[in-house]
Amino acid sequence: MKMIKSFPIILSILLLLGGCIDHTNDQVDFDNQGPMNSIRTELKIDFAQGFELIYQDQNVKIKTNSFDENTVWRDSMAVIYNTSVENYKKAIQPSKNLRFACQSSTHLSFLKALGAEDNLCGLCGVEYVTNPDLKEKIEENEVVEICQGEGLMQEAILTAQPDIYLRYPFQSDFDPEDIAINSLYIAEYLEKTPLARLEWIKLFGVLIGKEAEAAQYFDDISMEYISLKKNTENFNQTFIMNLPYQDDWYMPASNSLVVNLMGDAGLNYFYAADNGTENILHPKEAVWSDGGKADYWIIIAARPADFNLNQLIAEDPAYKTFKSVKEKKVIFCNTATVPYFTTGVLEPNVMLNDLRFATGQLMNHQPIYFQLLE
Amino acid sequence: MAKADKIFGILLMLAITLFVFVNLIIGEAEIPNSAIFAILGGDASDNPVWPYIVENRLHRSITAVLAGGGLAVSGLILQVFFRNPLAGPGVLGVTSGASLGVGVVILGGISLSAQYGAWLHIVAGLIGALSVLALLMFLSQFIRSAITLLVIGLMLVFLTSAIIDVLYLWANETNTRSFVVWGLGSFEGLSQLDLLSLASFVIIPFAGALFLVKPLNALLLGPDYAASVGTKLKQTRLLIICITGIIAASITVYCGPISFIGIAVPQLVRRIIRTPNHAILLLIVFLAGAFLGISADLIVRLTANLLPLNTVTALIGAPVIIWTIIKLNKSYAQV
Repeated sequence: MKMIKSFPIILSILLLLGGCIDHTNDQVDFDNQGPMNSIRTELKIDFAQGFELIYQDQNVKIKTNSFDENTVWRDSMAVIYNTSVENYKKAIQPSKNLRFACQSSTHLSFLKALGAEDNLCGLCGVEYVTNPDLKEKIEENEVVEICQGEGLMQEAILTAQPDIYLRYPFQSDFDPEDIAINSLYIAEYLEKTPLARLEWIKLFGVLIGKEAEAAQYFDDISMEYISLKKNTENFNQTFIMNLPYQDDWYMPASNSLVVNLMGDAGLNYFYAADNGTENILHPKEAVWSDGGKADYWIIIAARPADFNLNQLIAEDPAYKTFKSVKEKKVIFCNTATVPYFTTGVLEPNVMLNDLRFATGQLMNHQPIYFQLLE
Repeated sequence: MAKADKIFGILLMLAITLFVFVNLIIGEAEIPNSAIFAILGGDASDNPVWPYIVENRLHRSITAVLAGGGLAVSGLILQVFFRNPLAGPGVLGVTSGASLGVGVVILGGISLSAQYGAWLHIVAGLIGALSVLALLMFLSQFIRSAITLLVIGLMLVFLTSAIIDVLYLWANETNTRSFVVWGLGSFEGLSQLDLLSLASFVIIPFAGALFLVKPLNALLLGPDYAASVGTKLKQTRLLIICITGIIAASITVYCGPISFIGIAVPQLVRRIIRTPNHAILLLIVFLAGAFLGISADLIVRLTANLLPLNTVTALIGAPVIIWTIIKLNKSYAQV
């Protein structure tokens, strides 16, 4: 009888002792390791503030971190050459065959630019994929859905077996490190300028051992962008952005990426006096009253493919009073039909030319991202 | 009608008029009062955008009055019918059905354009609401007890919420945020056609509610007494479900789910005017609800939309409901 009574206690103790699996092991921090033998291209970071590359004896430590006052986060990953990564806390060996799982399709664009799109094995939001090759891979289960809504699915990512999972810093998921999957915070979208955001391609280049290609890609695009920027006139013309939702009209902060892009195209932000790093809320009628006087109105939104100026006015007749609408200076980027959030990140030079064409600074150009609304 | 009740009703009408006027003249865009009156009178304006702003303010003021009044009346009728002072427009599940319909469109990412998307929300919301309403009306024919109907309504609320939770899980961040913002409630953004439609869905059922005066007065003493004085309970129940359902559904579809007005206002009014006669109560409660609606909208606008509508109605309504519950415990609450 005593044995029967004590059985549950004994069972509980056994479960406690046997049920815990220790995932940790004695691993060494990158900074305390001795020199390794390898020759790699050292990349310099000129624009991006969200990551840095620390070279030590041809190995690289990637550090990603917050850089504005609104958020605090940081992450790191050691990229180790010619030796095992087992002795490191968080490390990978760079490889052209490195298997990636990505939270964002923007990350996939970086991989594609380096010819490494086949390295993708898991993605959040496969239903939004439009690329036919990728869609085929999804159908054949070579690329799997790893998220449910905005949350990571543990079994899905374990099935995908990525070497590294690239994710945003602000999700409240479980930590993939707990299931022995390397992860790295990628926050290219927090950068304030198009070139800073583009420069994240160097991080991807380091991960897959294509530093030279990444550096070349960046140099080619950035040189063209800077050259275009120098040739841009300062119009002294103003612009407003976005569309309202109910009574709220969120304008981007004056020091945001999209406003800086427009500034590089020679336009002045109507709400430049609004300080801050987050979107600024304006009541709709305030924008009707003052923002409607801006020379240009730039809209980045999803609409049907044949969306035109009349349909914009039909959404709210008050738009008829806007100077930009009267003068047909509404510049529109239809995110439903153009890859603004994916490929667009890697082509700021094209975006700049689109804007220069829309504002009459450039002739003979076929716009891809931004067009005047007819 | 007692003199005090008349005075109270007149004061409410004056207060509503005053607050509508204030809602017209204050705002982020500074428009001279003379220009506002000129625009309202149909005259041209120096600034071409001012007529749109004034029209926008007028529309949302009228929406606030209609929505507040409609929800309050709906709440009053349901509180009498269920003999529960905490019953409100949401208990039958009709507003949840409307939320589900809108949720399918927003969370499901079904979007045509902002122009047609708005229509899609309304149509989907009405389909959701009317489906629940039709189900309730069908079931009510087999149910004798009002409490049973209340429980069925609550279960429909849980069911629709469960479906919305599934939609949340698969929606992306943008759609989730849009639906959350919709759920905060707003009197903003109704076009002339929307306003006409909302007015029809509120005023016509309200007029129909005036035919419920005798049954409601009888139901105050319980369904058995009401039956004994000739009230046809089955027909009354159907009419109540229909009237309150249509009012609540239409307001939810156009303004989002608005909380507390339907529960708190009838209780407040009963404390002020003592008559049990629903011929007077219905009118006064409508006016009181309208006043609360326009007051809440004014507060929202004064805070430059930093306080959502449901936050304001909760800040006002929640203390009233707590007070009601305390009074109930002391057995002083009236239904």
